[in-house]
Amino acid sequence: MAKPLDNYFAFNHAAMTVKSQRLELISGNIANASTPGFKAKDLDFSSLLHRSFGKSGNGPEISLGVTDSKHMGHFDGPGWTDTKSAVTYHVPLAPSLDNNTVEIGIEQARYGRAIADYQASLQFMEGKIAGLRKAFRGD
Amino acid sequence: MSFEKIMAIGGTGLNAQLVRMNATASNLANVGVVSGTEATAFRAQRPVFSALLDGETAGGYEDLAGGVRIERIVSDTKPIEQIYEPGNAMANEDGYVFSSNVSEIEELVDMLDASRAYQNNIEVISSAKDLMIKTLGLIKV
Repeated sequence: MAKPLDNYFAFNHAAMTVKSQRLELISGNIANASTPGFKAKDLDFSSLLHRSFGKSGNGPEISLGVTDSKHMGHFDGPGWTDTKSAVTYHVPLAPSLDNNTVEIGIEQARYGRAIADYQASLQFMEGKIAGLRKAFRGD
Repeated sequence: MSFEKIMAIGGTGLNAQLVRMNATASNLANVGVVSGTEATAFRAQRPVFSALLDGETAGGYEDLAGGVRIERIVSDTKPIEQIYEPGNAMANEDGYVFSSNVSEIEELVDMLDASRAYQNNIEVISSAKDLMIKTLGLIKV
């Protein structure tokens, strides 16, 4: 079954999911700012997006064939929801005695940036929805 | 959805830092406590944090991976000072009392660090909340 709306929103959906998972990782870093031996993590956004959408980033050229209702469609697959393999570790600017690599200032900046990124995706999504509504109304 | 998880992770951070501040308060309250033996002398209490890994539960809550928990609370190993005070009611037969090993300066610095970390976690939660509300606002576009 063709899912035009799914495809219409697919890129933004994927981007927002990955970006909110990045927020989650950074919030974990901030929560563990005083945990001995904790290694600060981040998400390699571009590699995830490439894996989901191919190098062009313009969406899938070919969608997967589905022959059974239990088959997963292209965007339900583990391609972009499985973020575990894209987790990267920070190399700290200066080592700390307890081997914790969270540098709180840097994490705060990263969190702020991640929030701005998420809001950018949100704005694109709003734009798409507004466009869709306009098309529905037909005026 | 992962915004709830961000809040849950922030919550584990708040909890951990609150325990740390509680320990600091207890240490500061006991700074002048003396004891009759070295074994019973008050030792500064320090919570040790560890990261919550995948599949671990904390306090009956599941799926808080990425958060923090209090692994245990340890006593500071700094040496206990022995003070000659024969007039003290707690003094042993040789006239010595054993004071706590709490350092006020260390505790105050620790408290400052804990309160900053607490504020960071609050900021994380409130930012996640704002984004969540904005995302829900998509249906009104």
